[in-house]
Amino acid sequence: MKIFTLPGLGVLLITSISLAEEPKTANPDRIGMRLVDQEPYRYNGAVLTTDMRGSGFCAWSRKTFFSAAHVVYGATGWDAPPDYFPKIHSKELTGRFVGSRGYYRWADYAALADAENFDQPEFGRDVILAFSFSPLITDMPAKLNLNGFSDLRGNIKSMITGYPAENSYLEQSIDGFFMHRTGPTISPYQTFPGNALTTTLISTGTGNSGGPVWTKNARSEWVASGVLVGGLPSESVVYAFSAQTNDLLRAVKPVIQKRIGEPLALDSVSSSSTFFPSYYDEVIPDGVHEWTSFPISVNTFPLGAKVDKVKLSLKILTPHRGDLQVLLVGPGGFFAVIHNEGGATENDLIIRNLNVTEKFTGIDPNGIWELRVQDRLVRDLATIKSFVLEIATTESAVIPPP
Amino acid sequence: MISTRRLLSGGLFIIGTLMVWLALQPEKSPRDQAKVIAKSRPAAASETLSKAHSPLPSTRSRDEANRFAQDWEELLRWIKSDPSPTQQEIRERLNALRIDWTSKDPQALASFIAELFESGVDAETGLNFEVGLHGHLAGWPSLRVFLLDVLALSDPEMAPRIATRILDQTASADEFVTALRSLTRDGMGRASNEQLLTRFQQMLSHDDWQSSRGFAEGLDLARFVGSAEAAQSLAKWEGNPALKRMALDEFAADHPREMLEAIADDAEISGIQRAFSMARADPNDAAQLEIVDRYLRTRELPAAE
Repeated sequence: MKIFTLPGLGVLLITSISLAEEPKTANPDRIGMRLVDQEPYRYNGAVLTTDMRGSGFCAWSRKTFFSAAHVVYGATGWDAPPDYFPKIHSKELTGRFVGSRGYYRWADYAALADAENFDQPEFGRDVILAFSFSPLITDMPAKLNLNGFSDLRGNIKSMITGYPAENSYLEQSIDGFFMHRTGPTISPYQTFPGNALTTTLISTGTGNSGGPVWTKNARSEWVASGVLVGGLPSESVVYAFSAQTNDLLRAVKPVIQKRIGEPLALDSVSSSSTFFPSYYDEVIPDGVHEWTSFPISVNTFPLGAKVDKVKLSLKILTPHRGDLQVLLVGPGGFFAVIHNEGGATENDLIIRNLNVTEKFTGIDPNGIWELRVQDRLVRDLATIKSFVLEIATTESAVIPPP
Repeated sequence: MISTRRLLSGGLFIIGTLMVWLALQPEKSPRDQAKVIAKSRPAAASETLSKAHSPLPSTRSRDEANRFAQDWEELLRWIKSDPSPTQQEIRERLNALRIDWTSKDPQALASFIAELFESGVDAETGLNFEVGLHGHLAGWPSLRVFLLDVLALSDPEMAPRIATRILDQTASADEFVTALRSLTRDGMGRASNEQLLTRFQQMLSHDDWQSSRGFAEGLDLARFVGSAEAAQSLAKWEGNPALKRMALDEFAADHPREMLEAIADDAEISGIQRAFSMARADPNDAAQLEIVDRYLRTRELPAAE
């Protein structure tokens, strides 16, 4: 039997069936408004891409949230980093949302999802850890239970929360973006390929994908033990957390630090974009018409990958930015003019997330990238403090068989 | 005891020395409009300023110039070797060389290419002229064309100046078109649209270039400039009709409004070409809609049109 993902809008089944008897499974119930700010509901958020709708939850760090990979992976490949609507509980998408800056996922998810394998091993990799540069919630994030995989199989009470757009068991559509809970209930979890588990007697619906599966720890606190990723009308599939999840955490950790750290290369993990930071405290030669070069060696992308996005953040302190010319040069000499002596009456050159994708689309990301700077007029010393290069690539090309 | 006269002459000497020293310093313009204007001069005019300010070549630049020369000598020997390398091998080696060279000092690279070009040394590669990513080449019919392609990726201020000299001298369509690339890059040294159209006319005036692949690609310059004047230049050209039709059609696809302006001002664009261009009009633009409406009401339109 083929189990389906519960991604998003799709075509909802509007026809409802009236059941005279009580449902045999745990079904999503809309929570009351007063619960939204309480645990564990306050960690939830709706996850929106350009054409998909899912659920997610802020956990581990205030700047990170988990969701299902299939919410951001579709027919056209990986989607742009989604928007996160924390604690939304209304008919319309209103209020504060945070645009995520990227997401980390298992490197083999896309290949598994595209393979049409009857065993559906992709569910065992169906998770993303998305991040933002600003906090998603004001208080502490949810705790992760990296023993989720074993705990859930121990017949303990669990609860799923999220934003279903339908109740698939009752075949009823659910309007708006209202937080729902399924459970708490005790339901047996069975093994499925990889880190996935399947359980009967728990039903949700499309839109709930990416929502957390909660269990209680020894202190009776709700902890996130997994992510809802698929199901049938009367059963669900979850991606369960385990020690393996640490790889996702380790990969995202350098990016969400106050001062972005060097990217961590992990074979098992890929990301929507990779950040390459460089920090200096170096004075640019003053009044010299020669380029001072600040190189970054990039070699983390797979063979055949092509540049899909390039953004640059830069900080050069100077009393007179009009002295400066700045270029970003990629492998092969392709370059973007970042600054060309503009701003004659202004000081520091501080650039955040300048999108220069157009100048580098399609090139091989691996190689030497350079920031080249000239301080063309004497006096008013310029000191470079940092620059951060963000590179995203398309999926790597398939290497032909020998 | 030092006399007042000696003190005065000593003081005058110091002041004089100071004035000479100050006069020799690179000018630091005040942060006012004058500086902005000075900085926005066209590339050709800034040559004197750059030379006056340029420091002596650094050791790094000299070392890299030697490296370029060594790479070049090896390349020439290899490409003329027997048995000769395959086209695939040549393409891969030139690609690798481009990546390597463009990671070096861009000013030393531009200077090296300028010197090499003056020497006139060249070799055929057997590759077709082929445009690749971002308008740079993926196939170079000769090593001189390869050098011009790399030039456009070197120092963005020096490259247009060097390319301008080459545009005045070359007799090759492929070289001419590749050199033009250095004048079209954003930022420092980009030629004005008027300068580019003058070069475009220069290219179109060479009847003997029309069979060159580079020449066909060079027709894209009209689309790059994107003005009604560019479309008119193309329309007035009495060259290969198939190339002309294709270039005008591509122009109309990218710049429907400018194309309609060109049609309104110029009787050269008529017949089927005019019909194609009208079909490209954006109906959401009132000005374009008006031109199309007027066109459709023209009674003397030929049936085919």
